[in-house]
Amino acid sequence: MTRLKSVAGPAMVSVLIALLTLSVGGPDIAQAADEAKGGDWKDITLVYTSDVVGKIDPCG
Amino acid sequence: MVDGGDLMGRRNKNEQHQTEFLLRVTGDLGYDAIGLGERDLNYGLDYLYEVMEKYDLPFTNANVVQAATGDLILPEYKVIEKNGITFGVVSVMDPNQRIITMTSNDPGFEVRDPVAVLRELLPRMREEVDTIVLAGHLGDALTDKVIKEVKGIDICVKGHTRRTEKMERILDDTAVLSAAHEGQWIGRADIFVDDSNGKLMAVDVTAVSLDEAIADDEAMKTEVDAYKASFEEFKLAKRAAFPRDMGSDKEKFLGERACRACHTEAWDSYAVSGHRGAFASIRNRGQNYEPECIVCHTTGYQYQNGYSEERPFNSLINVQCEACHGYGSEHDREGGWAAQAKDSCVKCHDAENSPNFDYATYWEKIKH
Repeated sequence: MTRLKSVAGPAMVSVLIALLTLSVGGPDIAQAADEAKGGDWKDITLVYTSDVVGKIDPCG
Repeated sequence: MVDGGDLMGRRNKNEQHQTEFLLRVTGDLGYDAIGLGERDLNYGLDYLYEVMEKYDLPFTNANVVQAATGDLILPEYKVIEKNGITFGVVSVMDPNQRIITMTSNDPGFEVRDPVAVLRELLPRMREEVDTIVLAGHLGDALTDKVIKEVKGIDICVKGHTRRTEKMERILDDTAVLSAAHEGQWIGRADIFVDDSNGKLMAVDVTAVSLDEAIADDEAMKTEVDAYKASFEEFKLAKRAAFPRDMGSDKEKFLGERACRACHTEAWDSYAVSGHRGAFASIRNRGQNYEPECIVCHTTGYQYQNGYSEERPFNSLINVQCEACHGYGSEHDREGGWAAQAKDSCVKCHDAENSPNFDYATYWEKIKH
């Protein structure tokens, strides 16, 4: 999981940006969800695609 | 589910046929927002509106307007509620991408500066939504520029990229997500949003390669297989209207360069004529797979050994010498030629396709 921002307190307005490259096979979702339980975080799954360019089957 | 744009295929009727199927099943998948890519106007604005309505496709864009009126052609942004968080999805396109449609009745389009548009729009969106998602059809460099100069974008689903591998990173405060083109990878981001202010706090990304390791959905596979069969029938039916059965399989079209070797003056006339640009004219309109167009913009389409999409016959594009004069192999062997010039002209220059045709006037254009 890549954490983007600190949740230490309202005074800490600057973000702690984790400039980590997210990788396939990284920390699993369950672990991320467990970590998130400590705060008032909500987990939403975003599925995304792009540039399908009319392909029913990708080339190659 | 969000798409970064360029869902549609290239500008020809065959790809439009396939795109229509793709759009139908995309509608069934229930996307929440679809960004606009320049390809999504390939078949015209009316077509885009038609499929949006027919298949419930939530296209959105904030920087493409009708040039004459300045009106946006699509909803400015989409608001989506998920798990108590309100997301606003906005899409902008790269102004350097040319919008070319297959239709002649489209309004002109103006693509406005994405930075200026988003700087004005995001504060308004913030009043309504917790988290802002940019479906940015901007390519690599412009995506970075927009994120850095606009500020306030929480997530960017990047489009107009030719990347074949997944790529995710954090740029300033924005999680930039990129799915590979042609649907080779599907991106999944588990995002964690601070319930108190809607801010994105963490993201966990998985890129799923749609290879053999992913089992086919049986219902979808059945639908795709049925479509592919129907598409083959569609192509065959179109070709069947223009059978390739005239002439003789013993004769050959030798091609324009063979003619040039002896007939230099005739070649000079041909080289600057519209006949030599005939195929480009239909290719530019996406009609180069349409038999009813190909028949008059190539050489020998309905003749045995005449033009077809397969090599070596695909070299017989344009209205070459042999389109009127007949098989070069016959001429090479016997010396004569088959052209009945006037008769040859009117096969294509008919009332429907060439209503202003006048033999004397048109002959001057190709006189040889």
